[in-house]
Amino acid sequence: MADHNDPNAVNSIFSDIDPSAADVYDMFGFPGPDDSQGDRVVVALTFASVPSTGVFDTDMLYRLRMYSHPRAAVTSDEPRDLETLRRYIDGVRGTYFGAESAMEIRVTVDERGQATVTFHDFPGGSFMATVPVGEVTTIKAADGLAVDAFIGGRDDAFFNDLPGFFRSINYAPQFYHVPSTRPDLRELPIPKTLLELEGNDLFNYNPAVPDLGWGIKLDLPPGPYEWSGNSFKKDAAGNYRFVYDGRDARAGQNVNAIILEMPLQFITRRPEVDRIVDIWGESWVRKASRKVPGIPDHPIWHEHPLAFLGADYRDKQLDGYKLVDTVGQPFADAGLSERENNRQLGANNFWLAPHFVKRLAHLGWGFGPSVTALGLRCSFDTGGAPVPVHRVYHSAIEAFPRARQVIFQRLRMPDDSWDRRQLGIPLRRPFEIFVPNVCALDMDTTGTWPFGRRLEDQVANRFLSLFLDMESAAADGSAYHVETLSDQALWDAAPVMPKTSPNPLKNDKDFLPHFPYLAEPW
Amino acid sequence: MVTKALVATCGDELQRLGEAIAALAGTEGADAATRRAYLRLRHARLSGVLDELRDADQAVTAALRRYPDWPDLCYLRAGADLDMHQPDAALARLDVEPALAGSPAGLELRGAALEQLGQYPQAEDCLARALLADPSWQALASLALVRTALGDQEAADALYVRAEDELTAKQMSAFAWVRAARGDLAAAAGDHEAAAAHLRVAAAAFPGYWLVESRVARLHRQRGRLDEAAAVLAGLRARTGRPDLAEALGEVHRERGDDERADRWQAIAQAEYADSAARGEALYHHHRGAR
Repeated sequence: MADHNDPNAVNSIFSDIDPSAADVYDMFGFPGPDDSQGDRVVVALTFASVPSTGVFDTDMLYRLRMYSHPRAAVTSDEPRDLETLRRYIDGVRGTYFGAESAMEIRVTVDERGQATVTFHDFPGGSFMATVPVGEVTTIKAADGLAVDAFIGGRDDAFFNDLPGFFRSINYAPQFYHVPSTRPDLRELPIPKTLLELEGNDLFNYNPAVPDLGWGIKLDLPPGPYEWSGNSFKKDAAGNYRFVYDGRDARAGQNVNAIILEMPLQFITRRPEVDRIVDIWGESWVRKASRKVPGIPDHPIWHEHPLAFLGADYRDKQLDGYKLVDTVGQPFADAGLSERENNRQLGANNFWLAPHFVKRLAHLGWGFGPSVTALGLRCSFDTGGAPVPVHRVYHSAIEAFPRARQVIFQRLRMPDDSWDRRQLGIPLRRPFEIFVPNVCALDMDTTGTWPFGRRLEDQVANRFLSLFLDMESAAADGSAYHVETLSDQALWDAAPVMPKTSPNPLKNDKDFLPHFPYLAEPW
Repeated sequence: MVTKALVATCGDELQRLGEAIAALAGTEGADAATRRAYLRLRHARLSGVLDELRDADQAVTAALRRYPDWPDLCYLRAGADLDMHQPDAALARLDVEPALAGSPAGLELRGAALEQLGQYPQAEDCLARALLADPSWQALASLALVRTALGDQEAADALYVRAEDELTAKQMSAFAWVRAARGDLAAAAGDHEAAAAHLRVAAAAFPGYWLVESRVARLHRQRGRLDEAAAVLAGLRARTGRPDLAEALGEVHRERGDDERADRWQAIAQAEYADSAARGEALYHHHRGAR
């Protein structure tokens, strides 16, 4: 028979870009507001609301992983070099960080809208519970501790001018139909920039297509795509034009979410010592072979119903799924890993460290001159470049000297309210934040980023603040901090239009003061 | 615990594709044209209807004529060339698109084209390069075909197993394709029980897929279950209009001793092969040559 027997006959290269329930969005972690009975930990994993808000894809398995440990001792006088970075990475990989031995919570949902939540390797043991989707439920552990759970649809807690960010890195798929067979045409070889570049017609605001990138896409025009200009674009009044306009790209949109609140004692039997809780999330999709009707995916369930809590069973369960997406730190994926599938490593992103150095330097050559043009002090060594440069590094050794301060500077906070017990907790540095790729919640803080991630944190502005020089002071003695770019007075004084924070300063819906904290869905 | 997630049938998928094609009506641009052509091609491949495949093939050509510089359309055209048994045309298409040709998707296509041409070492080299860049199920399955052609059935099955492991619940048609290929392998080795087991799984994974049913018919015939083979082939032939199925049906009737029906179906097949050749198609050259 002529059956055209090649696998291309069922190839689906063009059909794998639909919204997917495997697309995890954000990982939040912060202390619960009521600590009258001891510290409580809130974690929230959000992802695409597919097939619809509050309805879960039954082929998915979501994993929330947690690891608690003491706050690491910090030395302040170590040299700022690659050797220090290497020692740090070897240290976290080999000593206190234990991705392999982390506790975890797995969630699957069946067609009846029942979520199965299994807790593995918690101090009180392993156990499972079944909870209805869309309802706040309390799960009782064997040791009497209670976990609040909500698994269902909510308003998306992410408030961010995502098209603005993608404009800043010339990420074409936000604005153009990019051929699926040409992944090299996604991030185009144009300098990254916070201010529009003269002649960057592909990404500058186009009044003829005002909604380009906001739901409207055009076919990607033929190249060449390199930028041949030599200046920022200015209007008649001499103002630069911002690539951001400060709108919330996710306004009015929902997510599906797994939200849990639990006593710190549930996570560690040494809550007074283990003050850091590393949290990260993963999405897994069922393998085809486990979906075939009539083939039991877990025959052991019938024979040994208690065996499902053992490590052996867990491995067998994961054998039936494929890891698709991971989330820990905001922008670790979109900003630093360039969204590549083979970089979905979750917490175990140690081998990406050299890539982060190269990527931060690449971003620095773009954002640095923009920061300087706005009259701000920059943490990246641009060598006085007046306009952004498209520079790709192949060696971390070559990239590091330029990005040294970006990587090593301590990120200042606007005041000391974050250190809620006034313990003198050291400020965090970017390399500590992004490697490993976890939300490292410090229970002695408010959990505001980078000491966790609170719902109300404007993390996109805080990520951009990495490129501000937080170590030197202005003439009046003031210094930049992670909230500097959220200060409207800065923009009012800057030679830029529109005069707005890059990203919105609050969510489109108010968060709730109580569990499950994320607002009701639209 | 038996998996509760519902399995979509081939009919469900064809309906979904039909709706997607309708939703694209009137849309303009290279991306929309690519999507429309791709959906039609996929619909034709899954339905097995020959005339649909011909129409989809023409739709790809028309889209490419309108948007000659759009790489995805070149890719689709090369893929359709393989559907139409024109591997030389696929290779020529890839040769003029170096960026596409060097991508994992392009390397997979080139490997499949070289396999069709019987240039197995070159195909193997190409697919090995594709796998280095992206261990996709397509490249693994194409490599399995090469190993099959070279007579290494054990290695082929191992590659198919790896291909299966790459596939998710969102790719059940591909899973059924791989399982059917494993059924072919087992049947070729004379292990009819294993072949039947593989085909049962393939049929359960993606019910109603003509390609799996055609393998089931072939296995019935190999096992001497001629009435069952004839029944399956008759149904498939009516659904798809494929001359190769008419020929197979004639052969089964011959083995059943029903020469009248055998002659009638063989005549139909030969007429349709001739018609295909008159259209300039290469689809059934090997069938005509065999007679």
